[in-house]
Amino acid sequence: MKGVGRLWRSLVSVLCFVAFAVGGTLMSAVLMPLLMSLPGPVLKCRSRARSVIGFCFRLLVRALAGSGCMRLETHEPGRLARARGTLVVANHPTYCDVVVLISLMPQANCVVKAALWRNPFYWGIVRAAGYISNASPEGVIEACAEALRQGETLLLFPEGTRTTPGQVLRFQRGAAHVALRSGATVMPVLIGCDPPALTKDSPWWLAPENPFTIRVDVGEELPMAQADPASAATPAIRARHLTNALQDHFSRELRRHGYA
Amino acid sequence: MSDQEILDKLRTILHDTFEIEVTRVTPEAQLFADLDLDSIDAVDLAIQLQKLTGKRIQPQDFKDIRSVADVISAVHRLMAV
Repeated sequence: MKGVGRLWRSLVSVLCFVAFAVGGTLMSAVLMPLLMSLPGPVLKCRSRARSVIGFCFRLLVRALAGSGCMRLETHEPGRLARARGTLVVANHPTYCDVVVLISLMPQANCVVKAALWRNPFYWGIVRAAGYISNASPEGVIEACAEALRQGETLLLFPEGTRTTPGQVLRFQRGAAHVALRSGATVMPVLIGCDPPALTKDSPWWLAPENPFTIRVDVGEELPMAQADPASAATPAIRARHLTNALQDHFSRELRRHGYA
Repeated sequence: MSDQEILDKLRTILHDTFEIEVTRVTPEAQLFADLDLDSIDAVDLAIQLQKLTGKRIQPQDFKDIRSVADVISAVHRLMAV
């Protein structure tokens, strides 16, 4: 019986991947160009595109939850929906994280791999949504800071890649540079996945032995960027201090919640 | 400048700009692996080296640099021009 359950869940996961790819292709080729050709200012078009993405991601989350593949528990998700001009930082245990988080804050901006601008499935979506490309390290920091200054909420995964289970959390310093340069408040989001699933090490088509639970715990905004005064320290040093502070916060809180 | 003088200057730069302890800066030390610099820091380091040498640094001067020793020889090259 257990094997049947796993087979069913693997099937659903594969179908979700197929839906993601086919849906993405159709959206890139048809829906997004259509949305972009609608009258209205650029920002309005972008916002429409993000609404569509949010709707699709909510659908996907519902499909995964409804089929029994995944359970989703959220704590204070309203903070994400209400956030404006906030830098949302999260740890990154699974490849579902971005889908779950964007479903909770569809109007947020995020950084996307430069390769997706030429990806046959997603090129139209990332363009229409006005997401930030990671093409150049200096450019991406400034683009992120500018988005926050314009009042957008921005989602960053400071690890830069998915967490390897069992390894020490290690943040890159990009998110701290963005926080310092923009002066935005930082909202920490803890993500736990139990049992570990959809990690770097697991095959994408095989559902884990048991259904997994994704927990999303949205914290209160941290005043850390402001707490570090405009001292004589260089931006590079301040970014190091803030990165260490964020990394300590996440390590401590993830452990306290039993997420890591 | 001698290698040792450049190394001393580099130690000061790396300490003042990135808070890297002076003792960690040896010629063998790898900038990214051992001294934990990243691509954003590389831009800051290039600016500091421009100040040190008084020469504009071209991206190609920097692309093969991995270790502190590589930086020292790059500074020599720049000063010779």
